[in-house]
Amino acid sequence: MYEHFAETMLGVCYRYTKSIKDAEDILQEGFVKVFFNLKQYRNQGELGAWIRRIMVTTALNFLKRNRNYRDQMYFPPEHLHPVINEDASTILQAKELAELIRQLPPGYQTIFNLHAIEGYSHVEIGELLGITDGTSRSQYARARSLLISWIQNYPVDKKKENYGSK
Amino acid sequence: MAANEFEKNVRREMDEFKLHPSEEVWVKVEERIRESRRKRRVLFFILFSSIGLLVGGYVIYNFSGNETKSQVQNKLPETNRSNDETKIDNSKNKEHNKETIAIKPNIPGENSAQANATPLAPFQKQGSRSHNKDIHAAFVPKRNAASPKEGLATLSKNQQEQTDDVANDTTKRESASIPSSNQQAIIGNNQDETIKADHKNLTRSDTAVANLKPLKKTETIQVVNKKKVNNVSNKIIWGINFSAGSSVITESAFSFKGAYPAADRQSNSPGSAVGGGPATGGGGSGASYYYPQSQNTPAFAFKAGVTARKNISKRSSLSGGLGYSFLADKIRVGTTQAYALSFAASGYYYGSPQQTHTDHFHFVELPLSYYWRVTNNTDHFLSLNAGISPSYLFATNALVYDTLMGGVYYHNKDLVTKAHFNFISGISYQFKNKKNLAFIIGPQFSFDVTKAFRTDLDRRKYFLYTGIGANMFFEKKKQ
Repeated sequence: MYEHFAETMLGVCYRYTKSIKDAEDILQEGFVKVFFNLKQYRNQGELGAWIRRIMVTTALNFLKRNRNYRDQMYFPPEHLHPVINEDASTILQAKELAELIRQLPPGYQTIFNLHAIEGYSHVEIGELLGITDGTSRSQYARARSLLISWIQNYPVDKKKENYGSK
Repeated sequence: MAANEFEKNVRREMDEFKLHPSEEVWVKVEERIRESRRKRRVLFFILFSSIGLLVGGYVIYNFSGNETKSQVQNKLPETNRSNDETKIDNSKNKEHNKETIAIKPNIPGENSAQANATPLAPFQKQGSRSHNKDIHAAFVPKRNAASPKEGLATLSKNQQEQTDDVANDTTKRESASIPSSNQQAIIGNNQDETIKADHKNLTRSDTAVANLKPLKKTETIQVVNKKKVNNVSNKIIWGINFSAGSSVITESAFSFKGAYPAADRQSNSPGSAVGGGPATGGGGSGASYYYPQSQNTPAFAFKAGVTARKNISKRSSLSGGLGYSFLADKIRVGTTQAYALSFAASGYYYGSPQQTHTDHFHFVELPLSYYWRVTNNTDHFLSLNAGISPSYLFATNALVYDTLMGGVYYHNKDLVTKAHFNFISGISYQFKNKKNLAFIIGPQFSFDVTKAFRTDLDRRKYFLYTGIGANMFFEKKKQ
């Protein structure tokens, strides 16, 4: 099970952190929880989705616990670039996109991950992070705009390179 | 819609995003799981030990005193117990009559006039110790006294013994009335706190002595001190024992989980097999094959032997013996290679695990256990036992793991530790049948604290055995 899910789950953890070491710590803690609570998984839904939820929860707890992340979770106002191309993500590979997501401020990064990728609603995010759903919406909008602007400003030669590799 | 497209694209890209974790992650996960289980076991052990101690303490505190009282009450004659005047009144006199006994016989006037003739030293002693001003005692001489004098002498002894017996007792007892013809009473009834016997009355006729016999049976009060009563048989009781269960060689203490091969991953070369199979190192010429040590699983085991048991107190006993112990565990090994290695004359096992090999270990052992009876009933009861058991391995077919050639198994008895030391414990239920055969049945646990293999390459370390044990002791019939 570890071998099957470890790489995917590390990808999940990686998006919530700023370093691979932190991501591996979350992965480790998450898998310990998975093994201890495996009896609670009663073949309801996909096993991967269940493990993924555990990883996300573990990552959020890690962020709350870790001062380096916790202190940057206050969602500072950012100057946002105008959005031109909404489909900008398609020109980047997963790795580059993940790197850009990781460069978002921790607050934006977390909300973007939870809403855009994990599919949590803003109400759920508000409950998870202890903020209002309105705050979650506004922070997500800012994160999204910021990310799109970064994608648009991504070096052209790298974009071409990415297309070529696809 | 464009907004949704962005999220979809991002989600699709991120679903494909994977990173390969370092090998340390799994090792740490494994360590954390093992550590948590160990902590859980320790917590359970502490919890159950605490509960056991509390229950044991409660049982001892509450029932050991009642047992003594019930013994006293049982020894009192029925006539005395049925008589209202002879009721034992502990509650009233406990505090005031510590270290005293007041036994009030109903003595007719003609005897009471002569009652102070013969002082009895033991009772003077007893009386002088007492602060009670109202001491009356009535005792009868020994049943087989041949003459009045002997009877008197015996009486004194009897009284001395009984006085000693009751010295620590705090109960006040009043005896039943004794007929005047059988009067052998000693009356202590004055301010000097002395007790005197009616010597004349004793010597009046031999028939008086003869008449004492029924008295002894029916009217003598025997105050039994707990410390004096010792019904514990000091004889050695012999028996046989048999126990069957399962054993395994564990990597960590008190765990039935065998040595796990995952830790071997650390020593894997890149691209080599993980989990036991051969693999090519990326298709290049530098391919490496690695076969980690098999996880070992429990196998059937049993123990048998002769046992000698000796009671050392009312509740505890020591048991020792000589036994044979057969332990085993199972491992998965590769195919047999016919040609021998330099250190393994009988060939070796190599390759991906294809067959199950059962390691057999034959021990002779000398178990020594301490049994402690938890419950009060002496005919059928629960007991806890703990002890040690040195043992010696005299035969084995065990395979030893070596990292040579990526991982092989081979026979080498020199690498198997011969002398072992075990801790044993268990819970048992003992009962007797009509033929005075005592049976002890219950779960038994044995943990070897000696490393099973001398080589550090083999991670299997300690033998662990659990099983259901049955002992049968041949007790002699009580006369």
